[in-house]
Formats: sequence, structure tokens, C-alpha cells
Amino acid sequence: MTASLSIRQVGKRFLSRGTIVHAMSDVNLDVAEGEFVTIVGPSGCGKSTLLNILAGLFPPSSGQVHFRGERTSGLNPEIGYVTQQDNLLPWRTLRKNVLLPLEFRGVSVSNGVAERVQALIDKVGLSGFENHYPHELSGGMRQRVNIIRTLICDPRVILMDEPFGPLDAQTRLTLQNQLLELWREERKTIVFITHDLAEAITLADKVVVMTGRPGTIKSVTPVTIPRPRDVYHIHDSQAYREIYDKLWEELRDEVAKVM
Amino acid sequence: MAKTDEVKSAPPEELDLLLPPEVTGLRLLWWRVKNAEELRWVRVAALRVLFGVIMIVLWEAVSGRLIDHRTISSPSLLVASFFEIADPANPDGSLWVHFFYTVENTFWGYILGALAGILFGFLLAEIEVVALVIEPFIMAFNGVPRIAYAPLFIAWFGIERQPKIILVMTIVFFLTFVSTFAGIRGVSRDLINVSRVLGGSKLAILRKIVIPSASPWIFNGLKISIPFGMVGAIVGEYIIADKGLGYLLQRYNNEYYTTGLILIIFLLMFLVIMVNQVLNWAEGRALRWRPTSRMGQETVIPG
Repeated sequence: MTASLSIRQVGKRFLSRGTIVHAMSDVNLDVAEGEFVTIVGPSGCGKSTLLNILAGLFPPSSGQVHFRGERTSGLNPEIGYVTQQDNLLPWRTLRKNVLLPLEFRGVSVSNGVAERVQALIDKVGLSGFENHYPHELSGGMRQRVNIIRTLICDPRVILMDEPFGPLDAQTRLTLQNQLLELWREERKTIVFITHDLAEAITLADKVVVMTGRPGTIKSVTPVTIPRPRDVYHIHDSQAYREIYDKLWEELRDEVAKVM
Repeated sequence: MAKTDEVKSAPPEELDLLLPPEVTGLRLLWWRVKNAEELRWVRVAALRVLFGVIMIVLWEAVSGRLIDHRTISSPSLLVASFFEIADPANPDGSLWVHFFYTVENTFWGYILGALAGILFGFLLAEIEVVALVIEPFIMAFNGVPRIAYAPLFIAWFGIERQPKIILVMTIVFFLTFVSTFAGIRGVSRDLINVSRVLGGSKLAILRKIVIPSASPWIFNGLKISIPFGMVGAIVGEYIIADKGLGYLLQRYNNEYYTTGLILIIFLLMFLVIMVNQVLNWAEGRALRWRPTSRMGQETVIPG
């Protein structure tokens, strides 16, 4: 497998109220093409900062990021970003929200495009809601729109920043399941931040644990539980428990340091 | 996961399920009218008309009996003098000459002021340094009661239309400027970042994100500006003019012509309500996406 993203000695410093804050330092990580990587860590460890850098919203203070072998600078149309807040446009209907990135890219809505939009809407169970406005949808539905809005542009890499964080437990499981299916069919590279260890293990090929500030990578643990996984029962398996215990040990130290 | 906050009106056949069994005949009909969701609007409208009619009848009854009609006039006097003043053959110039003079001045001042206000709101919201530098100056200029500028404008621009239009302009400019500025500043950073990641150019983000985000604020500014702008036109005419509703107010005041004064007030009311209706309609069309529970739609009438 070739590296889709490779992160080399990446660090980020911010100026905050006159003092320099080291958000993260010396982060090294390789993400293979088509791999599903989840990142966990105590709050404030620079997980979101890392994602913002990968998305190209701002450059790292040190180090570099390579995308398919080339050094990145600025925004990259091949990289999609799903944020924690759904960030839908309240004045657009569901369908028009999904069409937004295509409009941005000057893609005219031909039959083929319209079909793909509809197929994605159907796949995540939103048929019948195409002409609803975001305020008429539940949180889980909005987050699904957010995800297919990113998928519509067919990016190679999708960055996800705690996308299911604000959702209730049942909705969260449903969406995890849907995400795994979408990932299996569309074969994207996914970098997924979560504060939920169970979610991290359920979804990932490998789980990255980050330390407290300045955030750096503490460990990378492969998850060898076979796919397709059953998000509703994976927690019962022995392999899952072993990984969970190992990761929780690592994470606990970091969380304790922050508290 | 269905939407929860939408209250649908119950269809008539469902309504009957709630019917108390002892109700029959005429009382049944009355019960249905009272409870039918579809008739809600009609009921409110009917009560409003009733309220208005009661006020007018009371006014007519009191005038000339309990209170001198020279003090409070009366509906019948108003109607009579309306036809007299509105007569095109009226030697002082028909009411409509004055009416349209004021309307035109307000209109032009409003359009120019609003365009400038929105434009400047956009520019300053985008250019942070300029906004920081000139903010106190704008606030200072805006803080002074507008009537204080009126004599200056008259000295500079004469006694014709221009000073009145400019007075309206300055008022409308600040109101639309401040609301546009706030609207643009309030556009979510996250939304803009997400749009950048999704491939939006600066221009596309302005068109598809910034303007729609700010539009409720801009509409609000436009609506507040109507009555305030009219104040500008009236005050300008009140100070010096030979035409306009402000001029009429001033003249009738000198003549102790109460009926005329009240007539002008009603005319102004009518004008504000009409313009407000048009803007509400436009706003409703432009902002269809908003949840139905929204801020008060009524325009504030300045004191």
C-alpha cells in the first residue's frame, strides 16, 4: 500500500494572548491509501489542529505534510473535511446543500450528477427529505447530509473531526454503521478524530493515541478485528476488549496529566 | 427522526373527535368556528376590525359631547376634510401634491441611503483595519440627533428637495450600514472555512454564503429604516418648505387645525404600513428557509 498522507515532524505554535502555545510538536504519521485511521487523545491535544493542517486551512509551523508523495500547500480539492458541527446552509434544502460543492467547482448538474446525488441520499436513508431545510431535520440527519456533501466531490481523503460527537448513542451507532458501508463501497482514505474509544476501535484499521499538549503521537495500534464489522456487537468480542484495555491504559495517563 | 417542531392544523374530521357530546345545533356551529385551525386568521382579522370599529364609534360619540371637537376632531370631520383637502381644485394645492412630495423625497433618500449603507457595510466588514479606524467617527456622527444637522443641510443644499433627501439618506445610511456590518461580521467562520475546503472561491463564498447569511440582518435594517427615514423627510419639511406633509403639519399647527393634523398622521400611518407590508412580503420570499418562529416583524415607530 502506498502512503496517501505522510506527516513528517509536524508542529504547530499559536500566539495566544501574548504567549506562544505549543499545540503540537513532532507529529509523524503515515496513512495508507484506503486506510481508516482514528485518532484519540485528551481534549486540547491538537487533534483538530492536525486535521486543519491536513485540510490545508493553515500551514504547520514546522515539518511538512505529503499527499500522495507531494508536499502540500494550501487547500486541496482531493481532501474533504467533515466537521463536528454540520455547517449546513440553513437557507438551502437538503439536496441543494449536497449540490453546493459541485456549484463551487463549476460542475453542471447533468443527469449523471443528479443520479449520484440521489443515490447518496438514498444510501444514507434520507430519501423523501430532499426538499427539507436543515432546521426541519434531526441532528443525525444533518450530519449525514454533511457527510454526503463531502462525498459528492469524490475526494480521495476524508478528514472527520468528531462528526458523531453531538449525537445520541443509538444514532451514533447507526451512523457508524453507515459510514463503514460507505467506506467499504467508496474506498476512501479516512482520518477520523473521536473522543470515544469504542468508536475509534470499531471503525479503524489503526488507532492513533495522542498525548496531551503539546500533542504528539504516543502510540499507533492496528485493529485486526475482521471486516465487515458489526458495530452493534463488536464490543462483545475478545479481540475488541484486549485492544480497548490496552488503549485505555495509554489514554488514561494522558487524560490524568491534563486534568 | 421525523421533524418534531411543526404543528399541523387538525383536519375538520379529527376536530370533531374532540367535540363535547352535549353540543348541538347552533352552538355546534359556533364551537366549530371557534376551534377550527383554518379559521384562525379569519377570527383574528374579524376581531381586529371589530376593535377598530369600536374605537371609531367611541371617538365619534365622545367628540363634541365630552370633549371639544376642536381638540380631538372626529371621524366624520376627518372624512369631510379629507375630501376637501384632497380635492384637486383645492387652491392650496391638493393633499396629493404634498403627499407625493414627501413620498418622493423619502423614496430617493431611502434608496440612496440604503444602497450606500449596504455597500459600506460590506466593504468595512471585509477590511478590518478601516473598520477599526473609522468606527468611533461613525458612532460620533450617528450619535447626534439628526435634527441638529438639518439647518446645516439647508444652508448647504438650499430649501428645495435636496436637503430633505440628504437628511433621509443620512438616517437610512447609518441604520442599514450598522445592520449590514453586523450581519457580515456575524457570518460563521466555520461555514466559510468549510466552504473553502469544499472548493469555494472568494467570490462564490461571498455570493453563496456571506450574502444569504447576512440577509436577515440587512432586511432588518431596511425595515427599521422606513419610519426613521420618514422622520427625516418630515423634519426637513417642518423646518422649511412650501410643500410636503411636514409643511402641512407645520401650517395646520399654526392654524390650530386639529382635524388636518390628525388627517396627516393617519396618512403617515397608512404609508408606513404599506411600505412595511411590501418589505415583509419581500423578506418572506427571500428568507423562506427560516424557521417560522422569528423575531417581531413589526416595525418600530420612532418617538
